[in-house]
Formats: sequence, structure tokens, C-alpha cells
Amino acid sequence: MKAIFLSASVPYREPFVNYFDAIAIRESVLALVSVCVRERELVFGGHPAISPLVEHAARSLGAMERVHIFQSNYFRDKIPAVAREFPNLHWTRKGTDIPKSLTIMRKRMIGFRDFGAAVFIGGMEGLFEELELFKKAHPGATVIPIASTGGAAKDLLEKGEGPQADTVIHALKEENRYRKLLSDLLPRD
Amino acid sequence: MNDIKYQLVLLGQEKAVKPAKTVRRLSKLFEQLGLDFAVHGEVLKGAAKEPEWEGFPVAVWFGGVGAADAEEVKLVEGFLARGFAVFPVVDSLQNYKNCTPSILHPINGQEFNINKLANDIMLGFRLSRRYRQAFISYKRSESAGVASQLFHELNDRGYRVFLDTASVESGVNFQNALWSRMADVDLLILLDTPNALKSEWVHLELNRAHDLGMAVVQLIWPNHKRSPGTELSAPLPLKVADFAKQNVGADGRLNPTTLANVVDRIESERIRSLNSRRTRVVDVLTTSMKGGKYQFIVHPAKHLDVLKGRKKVAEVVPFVGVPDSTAVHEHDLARKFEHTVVVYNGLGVDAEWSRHIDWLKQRASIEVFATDDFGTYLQRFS
Repeated sequence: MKAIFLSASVPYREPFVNYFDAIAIRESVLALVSVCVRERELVFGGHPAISPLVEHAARSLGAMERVHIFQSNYFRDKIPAVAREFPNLHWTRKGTDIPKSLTIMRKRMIGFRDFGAAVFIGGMEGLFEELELFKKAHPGATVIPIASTGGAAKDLLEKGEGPQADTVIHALKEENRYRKLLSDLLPRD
Repeated sequence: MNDIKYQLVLLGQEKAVKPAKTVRRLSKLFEQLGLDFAVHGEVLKGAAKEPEWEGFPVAVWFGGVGAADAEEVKLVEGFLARGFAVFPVVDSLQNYKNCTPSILHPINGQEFNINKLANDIMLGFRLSRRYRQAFISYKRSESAGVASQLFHELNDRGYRVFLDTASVESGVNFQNALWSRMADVDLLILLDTPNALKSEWVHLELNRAHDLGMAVVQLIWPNHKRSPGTELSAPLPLKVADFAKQNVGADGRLNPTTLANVVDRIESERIRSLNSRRTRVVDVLTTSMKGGKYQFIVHPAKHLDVLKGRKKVAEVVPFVGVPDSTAVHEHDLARKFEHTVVVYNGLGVDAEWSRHIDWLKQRASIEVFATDDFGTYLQRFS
């Protein structure tokens, strides 16, 4: 089955920091790893709170080789130790500043596989850029903004991104049984 | 993020009159725990307003004659689908099926008794000392005063509190054995002082807390930036004014108002933690039982029944954390149904525990499964 792209972070800047749910972010990331990694690859950009969750879950499921983590060389000295636990750690070249370095990383990450879907959790403006890049590179792929986690993911759903059916939109806002949600929404190809 | 309360939802044909004395009894039980039902609890009557599904609501169905309200039945469906407790109560068990909607028939009802019901509701909220446990992780030389203060305050609220300086001081992770016995620890309270949280400790211990579905509440000291890696905790930034006599040193203590706010927030996060754990179990069962062949029934504060058609095929005992031989033995002794299965959250099981569990599986007469493998277990009934 096709790989899944995870775009997630824990908001700490206004306005996103005022409307996110840390437990929802945690549970949805753990659920995504559980539902995915035994059967497909998972690709994501490193983050101090998200990377440990992914590592711990993937390791216990014996699926570390199916996870790909991307980090920008711009932050070479600053990445959390857990990132180096991943056998598939991909470094991307640094740009002249942070935003450019992140864009370079995002382009490489999003072009890395023929993704079946992108899952958006929590996050800030970076998620908006990742969505635009993803839609361009994978126009037929499923977009899943888990609005119940808050942050940019919530904004994306409100802007009309992702599924259009009312029942699915409702589930993305309200459902906290994340394995069920993801196993219902992830494409089977 | 608003504070979540202990919500009691009253439903059923007899909900108008019967509950009053029960609620009074419940308020007394709350008081004994240092909680105030008027502040920390809430009563919802009927189905007009949905409870906070991120919380840990308990529903009581006061059965009686007459048709059940369709909206209330729908609400009960919502409770059961999420694995939350519904207690059906009737005057006489002989009339149980006539007085309750069919959706409640697989659940063991009880005859109305104020004290028993109030106690069961408390159990439904998991409000008894056995089910209220918290860790406080801190660096002694920076926050012994506040740690001690919280210890006593939480104790007065019915918590068993474990002070953890050992792992923080040495940066060595808490012994596996201790963590796994802490099956019902709801909360990890971090006192984030300037030199307390080393990054390796944060990585190991916080991950374990997240694996166990614990809520993490982080008190952040004044003029100190939150330690990296703790982004998923509930932050409580402290100001110098929050401390008595502005003393933020090792012997400093929080002023009474701040302490009260901190403890209220801790209570609210505890409820989220309960929800998180319950939902994980229900979530896993729901996904492993896709295809509609199976359903599950949650018995409040106990096990879950797995049904195929109308026949019960298995009893599932969800276990928080990693089961050890003592726990499995306990469940084996207590079981009443042949196909009883202990199901534990497999995420976060390291190599050492994995070997222990393999050893256990070969020897125990009760079966033990990681939640992700539960689907395999169910296949034998197809």
C-alpha cells in the first residue's frame, strides 16, 4: 500500500497556541503509527514532541524501518537525540535562512514517495505550506485534516480542505477514537 | 482549554424524582475526597445537552414504565460506543427488561439503592483511592517545598502520591517494575525548574507517561523557558507572585489561591487521562472488530464483553500499562468466563518486557494480548 505523509506539530505561537488539544495530538499520532506502520511507510518531518511518539510506537511495533524522518541541516546541532534512533533519517540541504531551509526540506519530503494520503495534526503555518506542496505533487491523494487536534489542522478543515462529506467533516471535528477514524479514512491502495 | 468536570447524566423514565437523594449522597462522597460536587461535578438531565465526550461522564438510566425517550436512547448508544459507564437502575430486577430500552438489556442492572448507586457512580468516575494516583517528578534542590505542598494537598484529595526525585536527579529512568505496577497512575506532575529536566530523562519518562495514557501537568517556574520535549503536557506557567513571599527557591511554596487553581487544573487533566485510556481500549476493539460481525458491551468499571450475534464469545479485561505475572494471576483467579483475555497497550513495550510477556503467555492459563494483536485473537471465533 502507498506511503502516508504526516504533517504535525504542537503549536506554541499565536493564534494556534490558543486552540489546540495536546492529548488529541498525542492520541492521533500514536493511532496513526499503529494503523499504518505494519503495512506501509510513514514519512514525516522531525519535531521535538512528535518524533519521540513516532519512535516509541514504531519501535514497539517492530516497524522502525518503515518510518522515514526528515531533518534540515540548518538544525543539525539542535535536533533531539531521538531523531538519530531512526534508521531512515534523511538530511536535507540548508538554505540561506530558516524559512528557505524548511521549504527545501518540505519539497524533498513531499516528493519522496507516491503518497496515498496526507494526515494533518495540530500545527502552525508550516502545515499550510505542506498542504499546498502536497496537493501540487499528489493531486489525487487523500487529505485528512484532523480538526479535533486543533491548531492549523482545524483551520484547514474550516477552510474547506480535505473531505467534503458532512459525516466525515463531523468525524474529523468530533471523533477521538483515532484508530477508527484513520482506518475508516485512509485509502486502501 | 476549559476545565472538565465529573459529569453525571440522568436518563430514563424515572429520572425526574429519584436522583435527588443520590446526588446528595454523591456530594458527600465528593466532600470526603476534598472535592466539591458543585464545583467539580455537574448533573445533566435528559438528552438536551451532550456531555463533554473528552471527559469521563457517567450515565444512570432510571428505568420505569412507559416508552423510553428516543433521544435518550441515542445518547445511551453514544455512551456505550465510547465505552463510558451506563448504570441501569430499576425498582425490581424482575421487571428489568420491561423498564429499560433493549440497548441496555445486555448490561447487568441493579435495584435502586441510594448508597450503592452513589458508590457505583464514584466507581464509574474512578474516584476511590485505589484509582487516584499521581507522580510528582522534581529536583529536590530546586522545588522540594512545592513538591511537598502538592503531595499533601493531593493526599487530602484522596490521591496516592508518589514523589519521584530519584529518576530526575540521576537522569536514570524509573525502574520498569515500578512503572508497570503503577497501572492506575493518572497523572505525572512535572515541576519544571531551571535544572530539573535533563533531555534523556524527558525523552524516556515522558514517553512512558504518554504510552500509559497519563496526563502530564507541567508547572513551569518563573523566568524559565519550558524544557524542550515537554510540548505535549498541560503547561501551568508560574509567576513570582504565585509564590508565598515571592520565594521561588527550594523551600518556596505556592500561595493558597495558586495552589487551589493548580489542583483544580490537575483534577481536570486527570479526567482527560481517564478518557484517553478508556478511548484507547474502545478504539482498538472497534477497529479490530470491523465488519460488523462483533459488538462489545462495556460493564462499568469492569470488563468488556465481546458478542458475536447475540452470543458472548469473549470477556476482555483491559490493562493499563504492561501486565506482570501478579496482575495476570489476579485476573485469572477472578475470571468467570472461559474465554477471558487480558488486553494491554503494546506501545512502549521494550525488549525486556517483551521477553517477560512471552514467558507469561506460555505459562498463564488466561490469555494475554497486545491491543494491536487483538484482531488475531478474534479470528478464532469466525
